[in-house]
Amino acid sequence: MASPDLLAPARPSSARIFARAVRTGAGDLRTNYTWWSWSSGWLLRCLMEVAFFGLIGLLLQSREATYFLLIGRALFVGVAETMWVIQSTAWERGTGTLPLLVSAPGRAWPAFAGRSTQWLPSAVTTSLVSLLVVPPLFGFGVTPDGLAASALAAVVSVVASYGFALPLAAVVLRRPSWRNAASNITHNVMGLVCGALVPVAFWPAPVQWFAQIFTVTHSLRGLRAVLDREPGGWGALAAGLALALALGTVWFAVGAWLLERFAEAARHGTIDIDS
Amino acid sequence: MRRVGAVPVIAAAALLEARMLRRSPAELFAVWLVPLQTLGYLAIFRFSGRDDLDAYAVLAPAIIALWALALLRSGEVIANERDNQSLEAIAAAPARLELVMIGRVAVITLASWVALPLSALTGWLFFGVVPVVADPTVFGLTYVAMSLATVATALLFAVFFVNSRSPRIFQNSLSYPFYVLGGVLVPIALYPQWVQVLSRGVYLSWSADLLRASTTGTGLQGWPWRLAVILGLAAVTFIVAHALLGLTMRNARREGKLGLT
Repeated sequence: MASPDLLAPARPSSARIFARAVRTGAGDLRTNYTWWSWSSGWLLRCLMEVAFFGLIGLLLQSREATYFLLIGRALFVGVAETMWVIQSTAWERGTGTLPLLVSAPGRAWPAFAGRSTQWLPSAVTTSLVSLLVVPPLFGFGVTPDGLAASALAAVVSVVASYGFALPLAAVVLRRPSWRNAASNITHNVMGLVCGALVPVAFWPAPVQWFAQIFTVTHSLRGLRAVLDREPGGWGALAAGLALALALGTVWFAVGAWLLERFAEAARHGTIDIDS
Repeated sequence: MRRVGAVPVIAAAALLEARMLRRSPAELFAVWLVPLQTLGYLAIFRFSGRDDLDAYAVLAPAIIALWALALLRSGEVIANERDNQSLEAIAAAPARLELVMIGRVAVITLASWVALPLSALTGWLFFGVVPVVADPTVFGLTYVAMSLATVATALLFAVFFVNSRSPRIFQNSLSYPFYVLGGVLVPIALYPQWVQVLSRGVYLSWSADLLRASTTGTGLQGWPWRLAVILGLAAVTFIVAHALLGLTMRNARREGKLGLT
């Protein structure tokens, strides 16, 4: 009789697990939303959020402030949506799959990280639609240059922010009841200091340094450079987006490592895998 | 079967909610966001050199917390009872679901009052905004009226939550549209005319205007009838919610699929 060791399946590659988990995530998304509930519920809500900040500009009676707030919030709205990664990673634990994930031969991190990619398509779309639809309602035109820069910035900001959210999600996995609080506090802190409301330079120096840990700080700075027609705007955008992506990759790696540490702790019994 | 009195049911539901809140303070996270919002609005106004708008920045997060918590909680209550499989039991019990909702949402609304001192403290600590209310009587009355209307509105939303398969989408969608319509930060007088008409149907717009007026001491003309409008909207909302919830529960009992929807 063959030794049980020989029957043990080869460890599936992390890429394959990730791809399968992405499909599970897509399934989640289809259950959560229909096209109608997404567009008339979620998208409309996001457009109103951007309009809320544009209206502050009306109160201030300043065209410049209105545009600043509209662009900042429009790009940020998708980034904030990406922070749902923190909740959806905790959902994976809530569905009771943890005992299977930690006993399976493959790695656990791609299962968590993959399922949470479900927010990316929606988040990119909300940011982009917000950038293209709301400013014209306040009387600001969109140029072809601005359109291209907005599309690039929306995609990169959301993808990089997904990387940023992953380590937080891994930490929150240990206390899933804090998922909503953690996600909301993160996006509010980020929204405050990343340059969406006031330029980063408005804040005291330590806060300015702190703002650099957020990927959106860099992509937003780049987008503003193009939209405000600064000399060398496209260079600034390229640099901002590259920095955001690099930072997002680092955060993603930290997140994968932390998720694997979580699974390891579950294997050693320090996490209650049944809850 | 003897019908249970309203007061013991409301009291029991309120006690339950208070105990649950004490056990899981994370539920109150909307209140913890208040300092961040206050800082954000104050930063925008100060950056534009408008320190005359301090009161606006301090009041808005408190109103937002009141709305967000009541809304979130009224959805969660239904979802929790459904997950618990106690929604059917409540439907079968002689006490009405709406009394349970009123008790639980009232406690949440009271808890959200802490957002106001928190916002004032944030403004004072970080931007030196001195918290002074020009007319405390009107301010206090408005706050109470706004809270009553919030409980009535949460009850109305519960009707949709009972009927909805995914109440969370509905919940998520009701935040900013109402912050805009309710003029919580920017007075609706600055909006286009057609939006103002819509806004006048939302109790938040009357409440926010009156809170700002009683804080700054300007624009208080006709405050008694403006207060009456808030209470009137609360009453209408309550009557509609009462009728719809009764209808929903009757249908649910007849079809026997309350836990499934």
